[in-house]
Amino acid sequence: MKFQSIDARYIHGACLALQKTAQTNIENVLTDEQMNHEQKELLARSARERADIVRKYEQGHTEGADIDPWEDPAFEVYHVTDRYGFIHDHPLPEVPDSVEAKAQQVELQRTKKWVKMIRKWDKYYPGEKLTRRVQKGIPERLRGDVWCRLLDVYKLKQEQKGVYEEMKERAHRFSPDIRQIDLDVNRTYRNHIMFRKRYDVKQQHLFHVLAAYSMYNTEVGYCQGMSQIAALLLMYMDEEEAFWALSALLTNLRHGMHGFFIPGFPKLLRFQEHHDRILNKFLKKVRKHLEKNDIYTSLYTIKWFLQCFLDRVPFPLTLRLWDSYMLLGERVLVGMSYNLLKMHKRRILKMQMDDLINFFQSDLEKDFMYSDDQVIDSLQLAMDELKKAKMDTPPKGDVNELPTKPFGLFVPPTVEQLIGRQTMDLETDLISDKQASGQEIRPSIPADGGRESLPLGMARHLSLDEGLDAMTDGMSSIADYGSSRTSFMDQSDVASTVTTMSRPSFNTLSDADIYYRHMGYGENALRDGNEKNSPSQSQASEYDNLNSSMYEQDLERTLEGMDFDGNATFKRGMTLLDYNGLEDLTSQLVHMEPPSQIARHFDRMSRSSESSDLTQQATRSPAHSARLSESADLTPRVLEDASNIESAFHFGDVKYSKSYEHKHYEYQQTNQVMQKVTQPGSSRFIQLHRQVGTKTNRSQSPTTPSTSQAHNITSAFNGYQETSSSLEVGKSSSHSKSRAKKKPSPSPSSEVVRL
Amino acid sequence: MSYAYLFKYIIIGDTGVGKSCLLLQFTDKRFQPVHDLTIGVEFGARMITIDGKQIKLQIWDTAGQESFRSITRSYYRGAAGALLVYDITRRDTFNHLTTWLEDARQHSSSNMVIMLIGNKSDLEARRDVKKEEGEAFAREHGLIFMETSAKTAANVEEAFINTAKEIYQKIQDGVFDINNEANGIKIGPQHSLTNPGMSSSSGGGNQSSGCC
Repeated sequence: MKFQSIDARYIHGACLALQKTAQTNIENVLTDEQMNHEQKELLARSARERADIVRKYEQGHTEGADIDPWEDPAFEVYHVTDRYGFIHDHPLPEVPDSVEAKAQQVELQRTKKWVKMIRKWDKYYPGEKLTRRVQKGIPERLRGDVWCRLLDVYKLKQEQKGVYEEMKERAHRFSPDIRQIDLDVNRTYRNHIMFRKRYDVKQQHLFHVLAAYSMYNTEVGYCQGMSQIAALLLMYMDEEEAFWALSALLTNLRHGMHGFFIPGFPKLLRFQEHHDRILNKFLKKVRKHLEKNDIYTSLYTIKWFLQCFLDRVPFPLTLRLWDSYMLLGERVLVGMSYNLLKMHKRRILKMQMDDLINFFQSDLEKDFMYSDDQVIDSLQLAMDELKKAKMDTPPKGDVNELPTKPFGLFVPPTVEQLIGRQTMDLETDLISDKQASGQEIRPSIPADGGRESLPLGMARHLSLDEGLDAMTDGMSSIADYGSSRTSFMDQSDVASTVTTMSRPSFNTLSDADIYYRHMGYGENALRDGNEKNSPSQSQASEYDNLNSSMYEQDLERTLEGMDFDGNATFKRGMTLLDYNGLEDLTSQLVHMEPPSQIARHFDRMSRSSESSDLTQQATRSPAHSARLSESADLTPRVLEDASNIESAFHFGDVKYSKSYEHKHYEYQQTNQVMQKVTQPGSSRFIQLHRQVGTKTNRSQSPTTPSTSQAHNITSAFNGYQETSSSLEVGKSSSHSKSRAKKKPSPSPSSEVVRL
Repeated sequence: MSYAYLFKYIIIGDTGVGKSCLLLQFTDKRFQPVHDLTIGVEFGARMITIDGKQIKLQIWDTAGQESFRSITRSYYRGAAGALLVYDITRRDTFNHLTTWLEDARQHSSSNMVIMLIGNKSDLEARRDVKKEEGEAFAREHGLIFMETSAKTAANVEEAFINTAKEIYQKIQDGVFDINNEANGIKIGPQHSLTNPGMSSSSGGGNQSSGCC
């Protein structure tokens, strides 16, 4: 019953908002004929569908849930589940007890070492010893925690409290990707015990993480391929951690998977070209043979690059590769692609087309034919080899692969997106839109369309509508929004402020980024595997020397990317969902738009002051959070030291039965406890603040490690900023004035200025 | 294995309509209710017999999400046949046919045979698109049409084989230039010297040998 009422509210609200959208924008978006009865019906239908999908995930796998039998494979015979949670059709091969015991022993020893290392994380990371140990494989039990650390997840999560929930909520109402995500959750790792049951806890998490991310990074939205990555993360992390880990993977400098998933897949193409280059140089025969059989790089490397070999090599090996990938980033993709062909060269040269395709597509996933350790050792050699030839990473591309829009930007979906119409037939609309408005359309739109072929220029019409705003936040945000525009007009062309945050953006460089991007594979360190070779002094000083110049290089790269169309974006208008540091953890709004636009919106804002009845809709269904806390209550097991680990360690006898979820949450609890024991690294929070034409303010948080680094960033940004006029709306006076005007809101969350 | 001809197919259509399941049913004769999602392109192959001739079908199964079209598009070029699939229980997948068709026509050889497939015919209770609508669309655009069920295997063989027959007929009629591999047709190793498009009488001459 609860669900029904939520459902009805969602539908009602969405329809209301959409009708308003249609009405108020009718002169801009659609003529009367275009917004015909049929379209209205389609809109209502898509709103219903979205609400229905969201409801199903909130309800979960409960009695009476609306689940088709085919969606929930019975797995009537309880097949064999491996230690990673995958269910197999055939019984797993017997492993002799002695081998099993040995493996357990090794894993246990490693776990102990890792626990010690984690406690002094900052001492070891980034560093030689940790690198070497990652290559040997992160102990299964600690993998989630270590991955989180390698991706700075804890810091991100702490610094951006509330953002995930906000994105999730927004997604449930607006994400045009919901349907695709729903379809894909239904077929992502269904052979894994965690994702086996339809709408069950982990499927819910997967759904929420992907949906939230589609709102957070609007340039990517949701692209197929991400669901498996998110699922992999969820095997080792909780929901919010997985979200930030996904975010880090897409946008930090080491991984930069953003470029793999944006329309046109520029980074994929770049890596494929580079792979060809490597084959030309090192494996010419293999390349010729493959091409003779009509097999091109573009065919067999898609999953290698987009998903770091998920589903293309056996899962345990995938994990090893992901361990390295988490640490070293994209060079692992390049190295392993080469290494794979190199290791199987003789086999490949004997095969013909069909066999070759099956080999890449499925045979290797079943059996890689080498032990994981052999593969990783060989990978190291391959990477060193490539590094010597200066081919360990591909050359920079012509196309920008980095995010150009701020995260959390709210671009209300267009009518077409909501209905689910494909964009191909909208190309003409876009052109006419361009002609009509005289506005530039973003230069980086790929010819083939894709989600982003409806850029801000298009969204402009629909954006910031009273109805939609009211849906998200109620009146308060509308008032704030209006005020942000007024203040912009007050100061237009005078103030220019860009605030960059310690977030997984392309502006953030962690020590580890620099270390691993430039030190490469740790070369000597990795191969000799001698643990007594402790991190040397020379290593540290070398690292220091590298520091400043590397920041410059990285920034150069970053800024070149931004220049590509950052300027255009700024001019057209953009919204920065800003994050203001460690103290008050609330998002701010920074809005930049041409004054005329702003005036128009503001005008409209002030005209509308009803819709407060929608405010209450901001309260969320408690069902989900109840469910979560229920799971979170499970057995926290304190693992503060190695001896505890030992007693709690069940390597061999984990039977992954119904209690698997318990065990998993136990892991999470463990991780949290360990996190408390060892504080994560100091935050690198760099704020840039500059007023064009007048003076330069450089402010840093107290934890900023190096002034010179910040300086580099600041000066690098100067040129960029001078071309753009922007505005910071934080706690400015006009901002608070407008707050005084609006009705006081009972909920503390209304203090958060949202979009 | 030896063959008289090799035809390249591509399977296209919206996400989740059952493209991969159709392929799996055709190549492996089994149904997997929750198939993994296809990223980029996947491959399948099977031998069939038409007019006594062994014909190898080489089938490229594509990702349905729109953004992947920039990748999958390149597979149209060398295809002799296309299966354009929609889901009879989801009208939007039917509504998108026009864009798929435009895309296919634009990027393929003009002779490519297109088979329109309304999949999931076993879910009659949830039907959202009438069979007549599918037929009408096919007629209007000059396509062959069938409703299939990858689950029950109904019409799956027929869909692939009828498409092959149509291609074969076109070869017999001399429409296809079979020496141009861009058309998605290859002649089997031992056939390469004759051009059956011209001397079509070669009949049911069963070939064997032609190893390696």
